Amino acid sequence: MYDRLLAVPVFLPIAGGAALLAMSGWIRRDKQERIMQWLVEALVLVNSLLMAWLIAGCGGVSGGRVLFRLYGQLTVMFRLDRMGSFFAGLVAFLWPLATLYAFEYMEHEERRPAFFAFYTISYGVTLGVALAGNLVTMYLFYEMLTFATFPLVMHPMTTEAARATRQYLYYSIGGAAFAFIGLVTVLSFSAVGTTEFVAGGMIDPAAAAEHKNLLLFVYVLAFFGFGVKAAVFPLHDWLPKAAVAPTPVTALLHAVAVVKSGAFAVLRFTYFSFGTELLRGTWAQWVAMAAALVTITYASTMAVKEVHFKRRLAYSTISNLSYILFGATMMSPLGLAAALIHLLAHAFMKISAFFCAGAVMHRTGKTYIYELDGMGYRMPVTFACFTISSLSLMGIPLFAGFISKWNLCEAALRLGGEMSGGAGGPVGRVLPYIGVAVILYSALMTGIYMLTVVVRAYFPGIIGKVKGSAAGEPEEEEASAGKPAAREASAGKPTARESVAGKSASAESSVNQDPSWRMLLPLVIFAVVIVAVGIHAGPVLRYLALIGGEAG
Amino acid sequence: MRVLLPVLWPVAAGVAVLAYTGISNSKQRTSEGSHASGQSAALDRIYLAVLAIEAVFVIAAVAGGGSVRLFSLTDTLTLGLSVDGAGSLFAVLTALMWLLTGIHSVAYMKHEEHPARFYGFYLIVVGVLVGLDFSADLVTFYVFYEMMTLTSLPLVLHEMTKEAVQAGLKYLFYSVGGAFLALFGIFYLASVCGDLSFTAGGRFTAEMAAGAPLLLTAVFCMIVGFGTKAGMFPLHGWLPIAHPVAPAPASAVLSAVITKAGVMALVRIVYFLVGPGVLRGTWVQAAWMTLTLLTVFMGSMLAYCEKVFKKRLAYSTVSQVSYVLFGLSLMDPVGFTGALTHVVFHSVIKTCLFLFAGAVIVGTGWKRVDQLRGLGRVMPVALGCYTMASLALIGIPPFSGFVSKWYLATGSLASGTGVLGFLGPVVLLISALLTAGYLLPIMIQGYFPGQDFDGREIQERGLEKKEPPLYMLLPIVLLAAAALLLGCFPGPLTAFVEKIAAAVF
Repeated sequence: MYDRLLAVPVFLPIAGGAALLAMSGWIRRDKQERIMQWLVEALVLVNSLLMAWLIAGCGGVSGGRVLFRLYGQLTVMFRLDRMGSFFAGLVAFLWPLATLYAFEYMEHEERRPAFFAFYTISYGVTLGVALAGNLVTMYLFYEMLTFATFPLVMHPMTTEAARATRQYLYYSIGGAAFAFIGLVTVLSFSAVGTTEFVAGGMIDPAAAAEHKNLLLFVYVLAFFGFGVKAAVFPLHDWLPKAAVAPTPVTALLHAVAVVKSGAFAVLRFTYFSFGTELLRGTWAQWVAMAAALVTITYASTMAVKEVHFKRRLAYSTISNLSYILFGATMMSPLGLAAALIHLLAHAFMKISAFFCAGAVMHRTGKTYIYELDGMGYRMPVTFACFTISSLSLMGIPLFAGFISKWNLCEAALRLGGEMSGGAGGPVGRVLPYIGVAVILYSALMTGIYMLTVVVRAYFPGIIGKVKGSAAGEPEEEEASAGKPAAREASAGKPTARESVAGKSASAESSVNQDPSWRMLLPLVIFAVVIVAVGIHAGPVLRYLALIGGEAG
Repeated sequence: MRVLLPVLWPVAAGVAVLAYTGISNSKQRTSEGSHASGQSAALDRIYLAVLAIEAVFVIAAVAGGGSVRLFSLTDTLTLGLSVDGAGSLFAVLTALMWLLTGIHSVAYMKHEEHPARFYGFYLIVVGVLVGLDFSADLVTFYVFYEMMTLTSLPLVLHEMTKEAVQAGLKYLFYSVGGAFLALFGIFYLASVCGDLSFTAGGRFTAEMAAGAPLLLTAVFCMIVGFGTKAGMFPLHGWLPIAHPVAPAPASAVLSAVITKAGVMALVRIVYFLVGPGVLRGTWVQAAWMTLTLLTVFMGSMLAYCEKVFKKRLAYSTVSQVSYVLFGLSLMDPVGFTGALTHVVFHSVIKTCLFLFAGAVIVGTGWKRVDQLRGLGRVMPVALGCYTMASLALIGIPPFSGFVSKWYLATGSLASGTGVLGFLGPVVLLISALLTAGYLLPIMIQGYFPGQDFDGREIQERGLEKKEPPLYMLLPIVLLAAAALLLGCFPGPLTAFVEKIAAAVF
């Protein structure tokens, strides 16, 4: 029965969003808007609970259900498998929290009903990518995702936003065209005659042997095609530009939903369509891996150079997405598991970092790194969460990033050991080791571009700047993230009261500017998850090892 | 629990101090003034009590021994603590240096802003360091190593000047970069060896080493990476910048104890994980010896040329910690004994020297070496302690440095490493000469400023016979006495270290 219901979480938000879009003209007064907000939140929450129930009910694996037939073997079909459940669960967890955050963030913005309409539609479309049972369906939702999200990039309606949107559209549609070539090729070489996902791939071995180089060429095309959304070099440029969008969009869509759909699509295409058997040790694997490594190096270096807060995070996203692609291109069970754990860890780290940047923008209007001097004392909870996410992005142990980095490097070294016999040619012999070096280089760059922000926020570098505001910043060594947040919140309250009283100039500089609970709750939850995964990742990794085991 | 207590106790206390000051600060903002004096005196007492109890806990853990499994990060990565000889030596040393420096810092921080923040992080770092010393395996070690970098950063940044922030960032990036370089080695060892728990004598057999083509590269990465913390060339650049900008008590522990975390890392990797047998006679040993000798010479030379007192001491640390690393690189029991005894002696001596520098800064405001002329009229007793520590560092018998250098030199000659083994004692001698050259003039100029010395500044400011306050002087005197006594009666220490050496060889 679960397979019958699979279409509901996909189409419910789309229908809800469309209805909201149709009604957006009537929503004028504050009261109506408040009702609209709670309806949207309720819809998203119900949808997430439904998704969770579906995943839990069928244990993450359900039968397939064909919705309708486009033409011949082109069917739209939903099916849950472990990897799909994993991605769908992640998205379902993040969306209600991000929506909650968006309510407060969007207070200063125009055209809110339309924004929330498209925001909700994107939810359904992203779930469509996650639940797609075959390549055709995934391709369909992949294209739809472009069209559901471009109005969100467009939202500020400035020239810059228009330009960014145009670039986003060109890149995405162009990439989809390459992916389409992959789709057609898979269909014509498929052993079963359809594009339904099969763990381990479904290319007909006899045909594969005959047309090996053609298939590999198509794989590379499709890798870059789907890779556009995962911002692989040289097709990454749209992502930093798209940082003009409101922060809830940059945080959820351009750090999780859209870009991870790209990475997810690459994983599906590699492990469930082409199959690693065909690709392992070939030049196509090394081309894809090299592209991921170049992206990591390039983007983490660019992030150090960038002084705009959100654009710096966007470059960091590019680099981290290619961590996932690096794991994906290892074509091994360990590589797939490592890619997925980084997909999870990065989702939480980066959405948390972006939300902090958004909170700063929302409360103070500051958008550049050099404006952040001393902000750690003014927004204690926000920056406590930011510190946790920074340390995690760097891959400091006891945070989630370390777990994923460890798994990626473990998988890479295992691959290097396997390829040392010469199975992968001269390139394959060294590339995995170069990959480890690149990841460590990128970790150092991450340290530089994230911790300069943290240090600036807590140690502004001017003597006696805020006298008596030695409110500690002990989050680095706190085992639990919730505790300091709660404590600092209680520490902050008296300050906020003072600010109302408007005491003195010195009190002015230490006014508590933390946003309200609607923004802080998601941040604190994300920080707790980052630490929890960092401290005890065993259960998650066991689940991912199952996925790796079946598909690698 | 006994093993865990000395780790958790100071961390909990430090977090509590930070939390409490955070809350009380925001309450006090309504009223004028930052700290009520009664409150700060109470804080000082609590702080010292925590440090004293920490020393007791560490000694209890060492005496009781045992091990504890903490929790598992993943199914293959488990964190655990365990007490062994080398860990005990470092942990006791750490706790004692921390206590003595803590006493000094109470007096020193009266002249700085935000003492509570300093105390908080100072306490946290000692817990992390003891955890690092007691780590049962390389992953646990790495966890504490990164934590140490991050929690000691606020000590470097403490003064919040532009200079301090730049130095702090440099410290951070070098340390993190070094740690990530080392992490490559850790990944590789994990993939080859699986289990990374420390075993005296190492876990690698000759066959395992033969089956791991990148083993030597990985070890070399770890030597350079962890060597960053120990100020080893080529990644030493942060040390002379970062140590002097911190408040003097922080400089003391950074130089004397935290650099030893890098030493500890290499002890663990070479002698407890890979095994000296695998590395002896390889290019890694030759490269490592060359790097340490270069660092020894370069550090001394730069210290000799440096005019700022604390910076001079920091360069001296660069040079002296590489004595230790040189001893380790010999892969020889005598050299190993020399290295670990020098760890103890250098900690004692360098703490004493930095605390003296702090006392001078607080008492007179003098920071440059040429200003220290006539210092004997101001603080003769403290300068006497400085003299004793200096003689010990140079290695003049019966002071302590002599013992360790003797071991290092004989170990070097006995190690059978050819030219480098003979070059070692020569470099050590040259460096000792330079050490005398950069430390003793301060004493000579201090006591015997010469005929043309213009003592008006001392008289006008009323500095005549103005010894540092008791809290500052007491640790300096104790450490100077230790520098002498450990040299006169090195027996128990060398016997303890030789027992460790016997286990690993």
